Amino acid sequence: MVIRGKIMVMRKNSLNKTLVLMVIGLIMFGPAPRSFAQQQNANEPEDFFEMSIEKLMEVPVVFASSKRLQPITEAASSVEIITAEDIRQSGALNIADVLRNVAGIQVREPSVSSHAVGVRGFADAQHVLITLDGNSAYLHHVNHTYLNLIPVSLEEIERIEIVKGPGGVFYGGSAFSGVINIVTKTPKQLDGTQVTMVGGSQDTLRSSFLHGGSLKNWDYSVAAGYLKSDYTSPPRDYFMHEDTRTNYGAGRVIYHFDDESSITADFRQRYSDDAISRHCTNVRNTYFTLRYDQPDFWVRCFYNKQFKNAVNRLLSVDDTNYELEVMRIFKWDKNITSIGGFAKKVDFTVKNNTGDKHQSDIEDYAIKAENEYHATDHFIFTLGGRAEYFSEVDWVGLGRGSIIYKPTEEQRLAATIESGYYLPSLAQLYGWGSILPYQFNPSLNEENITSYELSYYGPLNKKIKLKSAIFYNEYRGLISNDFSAALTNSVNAHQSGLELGLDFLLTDWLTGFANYTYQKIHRSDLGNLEVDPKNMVNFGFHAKSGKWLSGLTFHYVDKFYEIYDAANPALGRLSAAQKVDPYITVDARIAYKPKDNLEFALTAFNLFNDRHYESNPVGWIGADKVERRIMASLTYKF
Amino acid sequence: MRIKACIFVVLALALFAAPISVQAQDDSAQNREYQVKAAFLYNFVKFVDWPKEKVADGNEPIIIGVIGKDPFGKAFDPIKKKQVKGKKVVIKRFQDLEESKQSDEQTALIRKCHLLFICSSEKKKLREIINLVKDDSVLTVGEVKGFLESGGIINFLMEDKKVCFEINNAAAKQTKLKIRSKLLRLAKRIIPEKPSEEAKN
Repeated sequence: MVIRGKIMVMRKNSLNKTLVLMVIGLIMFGPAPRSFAQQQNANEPEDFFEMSIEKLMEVPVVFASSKRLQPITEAASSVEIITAEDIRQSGALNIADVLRNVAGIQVREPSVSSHAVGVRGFADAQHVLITLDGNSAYLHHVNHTYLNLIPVSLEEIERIEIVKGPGGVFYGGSAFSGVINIVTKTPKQLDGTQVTMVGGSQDTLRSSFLHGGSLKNWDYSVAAGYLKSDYTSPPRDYFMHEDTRTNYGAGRVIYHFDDESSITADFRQRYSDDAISRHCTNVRNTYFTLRYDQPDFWVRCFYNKQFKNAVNRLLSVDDTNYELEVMRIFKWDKNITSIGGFAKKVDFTVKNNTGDKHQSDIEDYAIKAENEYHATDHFIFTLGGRAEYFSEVDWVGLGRGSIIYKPTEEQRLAATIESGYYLPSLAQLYGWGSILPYQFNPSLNEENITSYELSYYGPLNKKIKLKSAIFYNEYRGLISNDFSAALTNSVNAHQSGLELGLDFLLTDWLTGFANYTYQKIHRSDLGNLEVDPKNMVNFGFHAKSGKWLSGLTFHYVDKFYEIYDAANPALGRLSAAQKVDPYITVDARIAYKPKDNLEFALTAFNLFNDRHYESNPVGWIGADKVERRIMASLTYKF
Repeated sequence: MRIKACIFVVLALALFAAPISVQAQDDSAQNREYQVKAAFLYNFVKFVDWPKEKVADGNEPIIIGVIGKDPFGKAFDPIKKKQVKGKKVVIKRFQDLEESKQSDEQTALIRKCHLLFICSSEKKKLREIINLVKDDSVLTVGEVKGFLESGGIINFLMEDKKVCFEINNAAAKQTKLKIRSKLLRLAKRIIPEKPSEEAKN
């Protein structure tokens, strides 16, 4: 029996639209001119010449926002960067832990490999787009992104870029409340071999191997990693045994045609024995990327497939994604114009062991454009938009406008208005058919957000940098996700918030950071119920003395009321919101670095063993308590 | 639906109407990197002391040389208005070692530099360039791996998308240059000066 999960009402029009996009794509495929803003930032050098060496060492040279390299002070949205050094100093065991220090981000750990991450609320890992080198890690069939299943190791990460607020102009449907882009190291950045071994409590063992090198016009790298951990002891029951055994391998080859153009092939695969719970086994995530780069032009082709057995091997699931993206940047007079095209197809098939099958698929095409106008040396205006055809919703559109004032090279004051949308997932549109009868509704429309933000970034004095933002968001047509009836776009909401962050350079040997987040949401279905923590505080210090390094980090997360099972809307709303109590964790790390290429470290997460829940323990899956973890690690580079 | 269709049409028109007559200029990200590096070079001059014979004439400017395929573009322009240690700063550009060696005048000019930035295009001729100026108290600055091991004095690095540097203080000492402690303190790596025979005893 074959069940088609949907009716392609827009198919008759899609061919014409595809043709239009193809024509546009062909135009864009033409060689990009070496064209740049003639007068862009004409006085920047003078600013740099006024700076001390210490200040110069703090100047971020490049940052990828609007899907192109640009200074962080010229980005239209609020952005934060987590560097490879931040990751190393955190001693984190997974990507989710790395994100905890950032203002406005909440991480919930219901279980070992199903972290839910939210930017400015919506900590459900579906309203924030998580990408690896620009490639989406989102899986439509589960409405979720599993951070631990992304085939990358922490040591391979060069930086993590976090865009707060809707990033829809360039990132599309899933970039509703933010974008988290994980950028891996190039072979040249790896330059040699690095081995990392980590072991500690809850039978944790993590290892990674990286190697990168060059040969004439070729760069190459290989990477591999393994993680095993039993987070809960004893396990609650056989199916909910919250452990993970996962390994990954990756290989990349880059051919440089000349100094400016190259082609990259990147293959990576992660295999996980137990993922989420024993309901999901033999999970295989495969990524393949082919990318052509010129300074002002790139083409990205991405293939992403997840195969797994689910519900105690009763089902086999195959979710395959194809993405094609083209971006071209024109720099003329005082303008920088980015124009791009995007096409995506998702095929989902689930079979049960009696041969029944459900299939569904979607198509998604978009064009996007943004112009950045440098009116003077201090004022930048941006205006952009995106038009997207989603096979199940028809056409949707959004826009973004911002005014950026840069009194100096290091300061940025920005006022931004942007709209965004969240496109319903295959799980919400069609569920898994009769194979697994979730509630669904093929008539769902997109969720909409309009965000107003005022942000400031810059030094207060020689030793303190301030990052701050106030924002107001309006939401329309949020999907109910209430499994007691068919899903509807029935919820409206508004949210206000404040983020304040300070980075300290206290002395030559002592640095620190502190941030505070306030957010308040009002929903039409739940009133002022705090579905996200109202207050969050993080602060920490890092000290360096000779060959010793140490760090101490503090997190406070206010109480909140969870409305989903395991923080995942795909699992449905709880019959009543569950209170999750406030919690405090303190992490500490001490490291000894006898040589530049060798480091021994001891890290304690949740040092005082605050046994707390980060998501609700009630429901079909429910969350586990988070306990103390102590890890020893060794890193050697040669 | 009509509004959305209009957005699509406007964007499509924007694509077709994209500017054609544009003027070539360097990549802004690369621009920025070399603007920062130019400012670093300017700062290095402040924190390095040359022997008296190299700065004897009070009217002579400080010469910053750039040898190889010049990535700085207009990054040094603001330096024309500035002085360091009471002296003007001038920038001299040299094509590459082979061409410069064909002219005694060019070679003499390279050796006269106070600071010589060796571009990455000269990667294969590092030792040759460094040997050419090693007896002339020239502060050699580079941006390639192994620069210090080739006898260079300061090498730029990129760390977390920020520019930083490492110093070969032994090579500086050999060239009779004194690097002030502030600069040494900020370096990511230092090859220390070798203790003198007297000190060993």
